[in-house]
Amino acid sequence: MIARARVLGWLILGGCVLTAGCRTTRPWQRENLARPVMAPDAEPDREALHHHYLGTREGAAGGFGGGGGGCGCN
Amino acid sequence: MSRPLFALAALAALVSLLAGAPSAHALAAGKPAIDFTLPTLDGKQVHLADLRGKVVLIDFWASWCTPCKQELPLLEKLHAKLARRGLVVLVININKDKADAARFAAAAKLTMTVPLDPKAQVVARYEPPKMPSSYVVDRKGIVRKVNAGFYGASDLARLEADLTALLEQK
Repeated sequence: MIARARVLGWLILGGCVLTAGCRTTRPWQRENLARPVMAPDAEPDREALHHHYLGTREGAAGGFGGGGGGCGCN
Repeated sequence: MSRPLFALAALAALVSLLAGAPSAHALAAGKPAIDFTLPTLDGKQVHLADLRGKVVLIDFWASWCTPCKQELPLLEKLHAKLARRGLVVLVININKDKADAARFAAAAKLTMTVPLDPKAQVVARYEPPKMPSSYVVDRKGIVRKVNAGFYGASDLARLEADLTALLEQK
């Protein structure tokens, strides 16, 4: 029991030390994120075809998440 | 979990939480505008302290920022309207490549002063909350208002009212 708690403690500690290096990207640092290639649907026609194909094959639609990337300006 | 290990884990958790928190050093209304000297797109230098005694609008923009590109033509109109009353508009570009700023400025026919901050030395000191953000600076060099983001022409109407009120103060 104590050994398990100790392992858990080290895991938490390790995780926190690793995430301490994470930083929020500030509004003025998003030049690379705003590049068109960073958009999840950089090729909208190809994405639409892919979704159509999946919808036809699976008989289902959606489930591809929300937006992301971009300049996130406002 | 042993007590020292728990304390260490708690401290690390606190550090990781604080690391992602927004800075408390962002320039806010009521504080003196942070002085800077920057080269401009037309090869001159602009020094904010030299503009003391004038109402100054400082705006941060980039060519990769869509709302910035929507705002700038409206700022240009505002500049054309209020420049003769003494308003100085500095639209600071933060693109890494000067050519990107030059391309947009030429396409939008900007006549406002475009200081260049490619290494983000000035913008990192102002810490604008959004892109674009503008700072209304009064004749004494005090920031009177921070406008975060651009959401439409009504933002510019409010900005014009603020600037006109300041220009009327002597």
